[in-house]
Amino acid sequence: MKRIRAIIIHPSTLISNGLKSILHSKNITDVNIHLSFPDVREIKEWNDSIVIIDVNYTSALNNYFSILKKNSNHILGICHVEYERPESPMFESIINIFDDSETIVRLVEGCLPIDSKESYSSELSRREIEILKLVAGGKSNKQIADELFISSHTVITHRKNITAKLGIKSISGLTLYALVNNLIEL
Amino acid sequence: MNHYMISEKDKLSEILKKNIDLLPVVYRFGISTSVGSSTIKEICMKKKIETSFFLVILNTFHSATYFPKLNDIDLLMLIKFLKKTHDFHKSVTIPRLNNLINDLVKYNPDEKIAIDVKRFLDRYIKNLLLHISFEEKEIFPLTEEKNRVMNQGSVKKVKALFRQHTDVESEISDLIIIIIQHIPKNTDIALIHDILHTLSHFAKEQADHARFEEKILAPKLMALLS
Repeated sequence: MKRIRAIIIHPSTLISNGLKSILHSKNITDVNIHLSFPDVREIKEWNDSIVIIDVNYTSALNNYFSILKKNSNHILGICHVEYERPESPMFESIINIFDDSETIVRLVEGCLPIDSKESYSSELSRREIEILKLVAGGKSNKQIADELFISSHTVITHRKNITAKLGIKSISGLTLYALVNNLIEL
Repeated sequence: MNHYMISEKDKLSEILKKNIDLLPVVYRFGISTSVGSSTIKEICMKKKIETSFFLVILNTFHSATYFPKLNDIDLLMLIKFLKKTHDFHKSVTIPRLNNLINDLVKYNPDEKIAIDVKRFLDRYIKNLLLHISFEEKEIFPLTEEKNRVMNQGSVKKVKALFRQHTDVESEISDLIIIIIQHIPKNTDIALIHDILHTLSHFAKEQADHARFEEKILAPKLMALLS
């Protein structure tokens, strides 16, 4: 499995180290913490990483969003209000500080592509495959959002990405793709 | 891309030579291939077909950039043509697709994709036949005054057409992509080519058929209903 690199940007030492500790316990050991946004020269060096940012830094993130995405980074947010996951097109997922460790790891790993040379679905990320399976199973965007602890807006974004990558638009088409690639069974 | 505008002075055989996909369209007007070297005008006069309507249909199917004006189309003639199209798909296209996919399953019994594609196509055809039935029972009769009631129910039926068309078109397009992406190993490539060619032609026909219904039939019906 491809080595995952995570970068946490959060002003709280407690939250940053807690998150780092959870990621370490799941063998995600390459984790760097920044208590504030680092210099743009350093941000430009980040490639293929998972960048986990305090949602209160959204306006600062605006300045670096295009650089981060250009370098194939995945961006997750951390929010602090129980039961909330604010919607934002910049975040692939939102971690809530009240989430358990399994959910946190699932949200982090969900951004990554599947590391498989044989599967036709390796072009989709894990999160996209998760969503594809749920769409094929007849779930609505709202149901998918609730199940994966992400916003409906994020589900819609992922679905658009899936369509763009596969060239398949209809739910029946996505279901057939999932069947043919053994992602679901009848 | 075809931009040539077909006119009544053209020989039908020359037009069909340029675009053989027009053959099934021409067939729906009761014109067989023994057209000799007659012009379109001569054939229409002999077969008692309205020449201007015939040209509108041919040009719409021939050129992606051409579309007739609303007032140029007689509604009842359009309905008759659309019904003929439905009959053609029920009696020719659907059986042909079924035979091709059955061959795919027969000659690739160990390939899961063949079964998956057949299951998909069976469901697609079932939905398509439901859609055709919806159009013939709920939409086409609205052209007759006795069936026309000015209420939201009739308007909703016309609007439902658009939603159903989107599903019908995008599903066949998705099937084509999936077959191309997952062609079984050691399969008869000529069979795959036949399947894809039939599906592509069918997809284009569906798109043109939907254009007629959405851009001509639906506005004319909405005008009658208001």
